[in-house]
Amino acid sequence: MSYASRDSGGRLDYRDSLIEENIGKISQIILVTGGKGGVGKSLIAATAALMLSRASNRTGLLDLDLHGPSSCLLLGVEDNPVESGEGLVPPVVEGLKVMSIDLFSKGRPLPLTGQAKEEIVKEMLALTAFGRLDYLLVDMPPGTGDELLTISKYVKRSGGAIVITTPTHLAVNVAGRLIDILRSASLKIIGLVENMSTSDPESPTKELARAKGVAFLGEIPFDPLLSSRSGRLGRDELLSTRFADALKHVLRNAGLSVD
Amino acid sequence: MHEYAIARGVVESVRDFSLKSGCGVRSFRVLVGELSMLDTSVLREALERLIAASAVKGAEFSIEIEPAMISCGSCGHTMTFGEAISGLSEEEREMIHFLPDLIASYAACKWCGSLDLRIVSGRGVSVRDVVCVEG
Repeated sequence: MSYASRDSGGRLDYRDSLIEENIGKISQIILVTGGKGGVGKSLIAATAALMLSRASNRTGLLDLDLHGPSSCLLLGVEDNPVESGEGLVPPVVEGLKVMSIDLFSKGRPLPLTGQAKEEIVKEMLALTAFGRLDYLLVDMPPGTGDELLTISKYVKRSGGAIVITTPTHLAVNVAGRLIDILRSASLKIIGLVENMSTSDPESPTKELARAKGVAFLGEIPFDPLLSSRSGRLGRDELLSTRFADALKHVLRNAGLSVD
Repeated sequence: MHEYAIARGVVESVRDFSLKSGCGVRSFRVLVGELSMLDTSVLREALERLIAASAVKGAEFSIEIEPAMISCGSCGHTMTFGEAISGLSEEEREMIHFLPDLIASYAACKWCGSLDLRIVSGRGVSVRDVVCVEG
């Protein structure tokens, strides 16, 4: 199957074939998503990617939170991508290849329209030379807009989504809508995760998982250390938190090789 | 240097078009947005080399620069490429070379100072007007 497209103006998008080629080199693409902002998607994506890389998996992390990228800050990535004949070679930390808009915007404001975001997602997918990977984790932004709709088109075959929520009715409500959109895009839903959990047996997260017929992958307890020091923890410190312990169980439940 | 990767995408997209439509390709145009600041001599050399080794061998092409026009979403002022990038350092221009939409991160409206900049034209690379071999 080819994604090559031709619009009414007789225009071909050169990025489609590059995206198809790049994605064909990746065994599993996992969108870490959740709909609502502040539920911990970025921290979970970055920590999970680091765990997978440390467990000797060829792993990449693509930060598509275009208005608020945080992967580089969370993982201490500072090097620039390197321009090559294969595209843009992403910087590497502990074997993990990281690509983020922040490597180009350098902490500057990101006032992007919907059209601009679609273009940037395509450009990053087409021009990032991740090479062969076992896993590519994608840190998705809040919402169900251009970034999600654009990447969904390309990752149907090798992709799946882990949906993150907190145990509040507000976040769970948005997660439910997100699940409907992911399904409509024919994306596999790997499962639902309750972050910042209080282990309440009446949690609306499990109820949502049942109602939507989605696997419940586990609970990650609220970790006060992370709320005060997130983004300032070293990688070893990050992986020694209660949060990281619980996340490892979640990833195992999702069938990922973290040991 | 990532001109080579772009050239690969261009040739693949033309080849895909040829396969799908069942037509041999006589020629096509490559429009290069001014904002992408691509090196067109490198792009041309890469395209020539890749086309010669591909299923669309013999296809001719032209490379044209599409002038950039950037408008301010706040006051409506429009800027040319030169106006928009004036005052930017070499390193800042390189970041826009990689991701043209970052113009709004590095430049501001020259009239009102807003960062709400929208690219009207001259953004990236597109392949236009693929002409099939007759008969």
